[in-house]
Amino acid sequence: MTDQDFELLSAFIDRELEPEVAAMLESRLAREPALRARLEELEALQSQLREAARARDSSPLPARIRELLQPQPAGIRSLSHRLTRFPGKLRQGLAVAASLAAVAALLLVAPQWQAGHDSDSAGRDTVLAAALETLPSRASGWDMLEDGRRLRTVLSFPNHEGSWCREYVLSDAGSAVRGVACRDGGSWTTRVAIPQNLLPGRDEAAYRPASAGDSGVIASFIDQNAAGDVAGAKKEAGLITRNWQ
Amino acid sequence: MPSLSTSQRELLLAELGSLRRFCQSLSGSAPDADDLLQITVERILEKGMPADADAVKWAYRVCKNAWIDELRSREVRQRYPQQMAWDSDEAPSAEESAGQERALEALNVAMAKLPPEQRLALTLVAVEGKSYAEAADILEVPVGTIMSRIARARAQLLKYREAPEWE
Repeated sequence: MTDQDFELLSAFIDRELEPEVAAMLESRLAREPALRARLEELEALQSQLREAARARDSSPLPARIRELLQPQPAGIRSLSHRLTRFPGKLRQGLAVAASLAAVAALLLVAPQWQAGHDSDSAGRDTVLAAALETLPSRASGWDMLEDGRRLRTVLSFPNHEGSWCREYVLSDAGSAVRGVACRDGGSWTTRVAIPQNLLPGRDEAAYRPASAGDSGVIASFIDQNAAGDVAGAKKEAGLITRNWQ
Repeated sequence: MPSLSTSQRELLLAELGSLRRFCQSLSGSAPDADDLLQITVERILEKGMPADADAVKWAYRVCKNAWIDELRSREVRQRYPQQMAWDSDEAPSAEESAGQERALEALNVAMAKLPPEQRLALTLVAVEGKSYAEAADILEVPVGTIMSRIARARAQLLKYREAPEWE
């Protein structure tokens, strides 16, 4: 069998031959047993290739990847959670200096944000903490808190200290923050938060990070602190039921 | 560049399974494939795509380029053959395996031995059902190149098939 014939057979099973070429090949197949035998081998190989691909597909797609593509309100910039086995490899553009500068700003942002809301003696936002304790994560939409703010819990992940942390977006009177709180000593404490500004001319649901450099700060925090994969919906529901134990 | 439209997001969501198989074809292992898939999606979301772009073809190209970047950054080209284990360490034992499963495993091993450009072309067409023109568009080579790469890949796989472990 010539290489040209083999290439013809290969294109034939892919249905890529011009009709007249395919007709000529079919005519030859009818009278050339060796050619027909080779075609049958190729067809068997084709079936096996698809079967092997299906076998490799046995595990479900990671929820974290599906979540990234969920439709979001216009203007939200998706954040990378970077819970991959290539940490820091493909995203080296995430400048450490920018992160440090943003973290410095956060120390000012978080208390300012919490001012006017119920807080405990340690300055923790008790309404937010109660909501983080009980609300499941959601890809879109909002949960209304008792004080009128709106919360979207984005995901839950374990940290290296053995606690659970949750990323969230909290909206209040035309502004918003995106943050990560961790459950310390039975209560949720915000570890990092980035202001999200309203986009001019957009509705209240549309936010963007305060600056381009901030967009990776949350991702960077999660990358540095996550000790495992994001909890799926079922696992998260179990954690909520068991008070995150 | 504009961010993704709702329809582009929906197209990508529907294509994630195929894209993941493509990632596996590139990276050679399920965990690496999932990481590559996530990086691909993140890169698309970060950089956006033109409103008139074919979201699916765009995603395949981003995926391919992300993997090339990854290889470059890690300088793993030399290690690539070792990486292409196709999860053979997760293969069921001989006692547990039916003959058909062993044949599929042998096929996976044989696929791993193919040159990457042949494996990608074959995966896109024979597994994902893309046309030669679509595969050429994704891999950014002429249609004739796709045709010959696929034929060479199949010829090589049939040659491996004659090896004793295939049966």
